[in-house]
Amino acid sequence: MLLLIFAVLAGWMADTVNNPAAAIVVNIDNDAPAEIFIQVGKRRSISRVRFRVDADDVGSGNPVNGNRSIDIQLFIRAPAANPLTGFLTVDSSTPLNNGSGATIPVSEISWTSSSPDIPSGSFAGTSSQQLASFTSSVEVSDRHTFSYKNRNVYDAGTYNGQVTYTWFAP
Amino acid sequence: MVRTLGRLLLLLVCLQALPSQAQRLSDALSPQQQINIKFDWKHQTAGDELDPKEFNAVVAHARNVDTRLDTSDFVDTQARIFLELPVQVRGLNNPQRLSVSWTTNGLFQNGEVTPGNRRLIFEGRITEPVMRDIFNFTFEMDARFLSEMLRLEPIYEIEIISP
Amino acid sequence: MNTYIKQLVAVASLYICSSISYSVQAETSSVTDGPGDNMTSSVRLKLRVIIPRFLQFQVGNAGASVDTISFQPTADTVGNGVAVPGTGGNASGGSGTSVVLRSNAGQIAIVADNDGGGGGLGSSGAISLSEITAHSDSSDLQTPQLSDGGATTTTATLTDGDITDRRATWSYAYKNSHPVEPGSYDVEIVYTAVSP
Repeated sequence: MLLLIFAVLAGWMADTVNNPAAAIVVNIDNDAPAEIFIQVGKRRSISRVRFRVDADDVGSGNPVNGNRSIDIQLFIRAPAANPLTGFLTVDSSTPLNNGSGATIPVSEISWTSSSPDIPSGSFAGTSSQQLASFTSSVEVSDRHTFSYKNRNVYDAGTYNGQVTYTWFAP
Repeated sequence: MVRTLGRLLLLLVCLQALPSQAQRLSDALSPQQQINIKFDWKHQTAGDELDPKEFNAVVAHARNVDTRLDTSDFVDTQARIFLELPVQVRGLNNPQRLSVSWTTNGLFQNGEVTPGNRRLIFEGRITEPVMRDIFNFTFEMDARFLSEMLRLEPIYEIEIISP
Repeated sequence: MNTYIKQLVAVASLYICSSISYSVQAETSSVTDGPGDNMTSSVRLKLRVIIPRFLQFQVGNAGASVDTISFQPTADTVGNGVAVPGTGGNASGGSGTSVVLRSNAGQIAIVADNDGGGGGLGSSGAISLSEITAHSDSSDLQTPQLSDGGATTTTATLTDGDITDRRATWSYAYKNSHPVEPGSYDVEIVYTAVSP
C-alpha cells in the first residue's frame, strides 16, 4: 500500500519538474529612426497666396485678405530613448518684386493662426524668424490666413515672391 | 496506523480531483532560436493626422518562424495548447504598451496576446510527437515607451482535457 | 541645403529617396535621422501682391456735392482793389479746399477748366476768372491759375518713381479790381488729374 502511494506521488512530482526553458528568443532592437515632416499648403506643388488690391484702396491701410488659407502640418517623432526638439523658422528676407525693380517687403504680410501651436504674427523680413518649437513626439496642424497690410502706395504691377519655412531638429 | 492510512487516502482523492495543471512544451526542436529583428514606424507616412497611439506606433515582424513543439508525452490525449508571454519582458517597463499578434500556416490558431497573458492556439487530439507550424509574428509598441532593446520569450503550454 | 540633401539620400531608405526627389516640386518634406545627422527640411510658399494702376484725386469733400468758395466784398469795398479772401471750403477754419492726389500712374498733370463759356463768373462776362487768384500751401501740388478759356495746368511733383502721394490746401482770393453790378456771379471749376 505504501509503495503504491509513493509511486503515485513520484509520478506527480516528476510532471511538475518537467518545465523546459523557452528556446525561441526574440530580440527586438530599438531602431525606429527619429523623423520630422512638414507640409505647407498642397502636397505636390508650391501653394500661392494672392492679394489683390482694389484701385480705390491702394495704400489706404485697409488690410487685404489673401485669396486662400494655407494648412501647415508638421510632426516630430522619436523613440523615448532619444527625444528630439524641432524648430520652425521662416525666411522672408527677399522682398516681393514686380520684375521692374519695384519691391514690397514681406513684412507687409501677416497671418492669423487657427491654433496657438504656431502663433499669429507678421513676417519679419529676416532669414531665420523662429515661429515655434516642438519636442517629440507631436503632430501639429494649423491653418494660416494671410493679410496684406496695404499701408503704402507702390508702383502698379504684380509683385511675386516666396517665403521658405524650415523645420529642423539639430 | 489506521489514522495515517486515512490521511493518505484523502491525499489520493484530492490529487485526482485537481484540474490538470498547465505544463510547458519545449520549443527546442525549432531550427532558429535567436530571432533578431528591428522596430520601425507603423505608419510610414503620417501626413494626415493620426491619433497619438497610432502616430507613435512602431512594429517589428518576425516572419516564417518555424516552431516545433515537443508533444511526445501527450500523444493521443485531448489537450489545449496556449501561447503565453511572460509579464516580465526585458527592456519593457510598461507591459501594456506591447502587443504581439501572429498568423500561422493553419495547425495553430492565429491570435494576439499582451505580456502576462496567454492565448489558446490549439484544442483537440494530439496525434504527433512534434507539432510544427510556421508563425508570422507582429510586435507592436508605443515608441514613447521604448527606451531599450526588448527580449521576448514566447512560452507554449499544454493542458490535458482528457487522457 | 542641396549638398546636405544629397548626403542624406545616400543613407536614407528607398521611401525617403522618393520623397526627397519630390521635394523640388512638392511642398512636403520628410526627413529621417541618420547617425550624427542634423535633420532639416524646407518648404516654400509663394506670395503675390497685385497693385493696380490707380489715380485718386479729391478736391474738397468726397462725394457728389460740389464745394463752394464765396467772395463777398462789403458794400463799401466793392472794386477798391483790395483782395477779398474766399470763404467756405472744407479745409480747417474755412481757409480753402483740401486736395488729395495719390497715384502710381506716373507724372500727373492737373488741368483746370470751367463752365463759364469763356465769360468767367456769371452770365454777363462781368467778372473774368483772371480776377481770382489761386494759391496752394504745397509747392508739390500747385493749383493752376484760373482763366476764362480754361485748360490751365500744373504738374504735381512725383513722390518716388511713378508714385504721387500729395496733399495741399488750395485757397482763393478775389482781386476786386473794379466795381461790378450787384449780384451773384457763379462759375464751376472742373479740375482734372491726368496720368500719362
